[in-house]
Amino acid sequence: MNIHKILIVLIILLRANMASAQESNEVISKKLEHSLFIGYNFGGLAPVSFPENIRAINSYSPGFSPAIGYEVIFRLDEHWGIGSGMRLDYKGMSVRDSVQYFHTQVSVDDASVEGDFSGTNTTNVKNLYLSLPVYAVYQTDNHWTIKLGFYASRLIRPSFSGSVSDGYLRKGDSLGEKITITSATFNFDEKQRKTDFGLFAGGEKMVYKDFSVKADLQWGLRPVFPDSFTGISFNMYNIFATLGISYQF
Amino acid sequence: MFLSSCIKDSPKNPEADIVSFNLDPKELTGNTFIDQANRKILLFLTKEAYDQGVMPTITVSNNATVSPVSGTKINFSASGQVTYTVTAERSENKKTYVVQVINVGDWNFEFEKWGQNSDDKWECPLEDNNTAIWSSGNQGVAISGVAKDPLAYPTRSTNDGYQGSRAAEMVTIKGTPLSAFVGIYLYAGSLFIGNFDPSSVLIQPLAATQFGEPYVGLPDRFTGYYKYSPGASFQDENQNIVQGKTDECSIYAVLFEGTQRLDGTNILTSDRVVARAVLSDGSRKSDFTRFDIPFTYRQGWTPQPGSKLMMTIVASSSKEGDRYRGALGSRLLVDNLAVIPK
Repeated sequence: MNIHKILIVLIILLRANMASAQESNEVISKKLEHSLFIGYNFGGLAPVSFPENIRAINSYSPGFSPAIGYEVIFRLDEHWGIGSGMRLDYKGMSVRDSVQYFHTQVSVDDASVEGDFSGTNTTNVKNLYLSLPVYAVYQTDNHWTIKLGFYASRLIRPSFSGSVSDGYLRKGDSLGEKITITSATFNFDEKQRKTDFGLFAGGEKMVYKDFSVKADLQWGLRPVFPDSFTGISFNMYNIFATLGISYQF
Repeated sequence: MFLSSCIKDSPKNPEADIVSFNLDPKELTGNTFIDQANRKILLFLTKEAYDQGVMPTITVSNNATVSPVSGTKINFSASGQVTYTVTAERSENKKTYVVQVINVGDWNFEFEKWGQNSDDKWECPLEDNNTAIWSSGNQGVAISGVAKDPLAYPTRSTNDGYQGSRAAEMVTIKGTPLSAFVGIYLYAGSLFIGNFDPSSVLIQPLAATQFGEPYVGLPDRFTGYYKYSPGASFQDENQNIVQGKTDECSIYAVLFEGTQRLDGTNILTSDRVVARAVLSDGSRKSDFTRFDIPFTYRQGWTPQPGSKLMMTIVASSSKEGDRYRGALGSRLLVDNLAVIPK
């Protein structure tokens, strides 16, 4: 699926919602609040606790990680509501770190090599997820909206690659023979899980007419790589914050 | 800043290498080779050094310790095997190295006895005393993740030897999906006298093949038997088929000066080379075919008193296999290789 198709689906969904809102009775229509947002994602595919094998983060950049989405909130009363929607997120990062005795097993088809790597690791991630958040909403009297719930995602365009350089591999384990590596690339695109889920939290404040500034947090609870994947010796999770603006209509 | 605050203390060093093993150069007929993959220290000693024992200066991985300690005298005549145990800073990690004194007495090789690497299952010819004088590219192929099966490697033993005995078989095989990452699509079978140094295999593969063992006297002729069938289509290093080109095998012996080994980058060009015996006919041979090639000495060269010489024999199922060019399936068998002294 490419982005254009997804955008079309979003627009159709949106129009269907608007149409149904028009057709349904006044009461329900008043209870539904629609908004569109754009934003920018900051975060990373990160271990929850840093393993001792990572010695230094030499550089980090979120890359170009935009987010776009549609949200609908169903008002239950003056303050409370439930919300959902659909969003497209690039969840990406470029990180360059120094690792020591980092255990890895890389398999391609029937070829496999295992060992401990010490040196520089560069990882570039730019995954595109289509997500469905579901959350409780609380609106304050002074135009603050607070959201808390869950999200489920589908990975629709994977990209996870990088290189190891300026180091060496110990074949098998740390007692194996040393093999100098000046540069070797890896690509784990297709090794990632196709789905993700996690916690969703957000805050939003209406600042001008129908425009709001917003911040969301999506904290993945499912490791990005399945247990059967041995290329990285610790679990990584999608942990991303979105800063953006939304328009309510 | 947030991230760096998460960085934990450095792990204790788990490495337990003997990094260097130094002896007085006067005691050596060839430079010491530390075979890290097989955990052996290969010594090439003068008769005096062998008889009197040696006192090596040893360095190990950072914060590791070695027993017996550096500077301890070791004797060879007395109690058989000499071993060194290195204990890493992470003290549950230990590695034991066996010292082997290598002496190529008789330059006559029948390839009847073979050993197998315990982890990766590749084969290698052994001498009667279980020392290994021959090496191959198998160790490099192991790093690219082939199946742990002797027949998955390009160099192995075969029962199809001269006069029904065992022999060395070299087959040019396809690279692995992992070797393709570093641009290697083909591995030629190879066999050579010397050692394989895996540390440089990914950055400078030609330097991984360390050619030569000490040679005493002067060689006259290089003889042996071989059988060869080239593979169907010749491919270049980028897997492009080269039309009209037929693969050839390569068999040669080189004598050179010094105690330091030559490698794949300089075995053909070094000015230390004194004499060569090169098989000129690398074409198909359906039956075992004998060759007898005189060594051609460098013009004007005369042996200096006390100078040290090394010799290597190199065989490959694809003549340009060192450049990853050849035909998949090319198969070379060699048997009864010998260097006849003057």
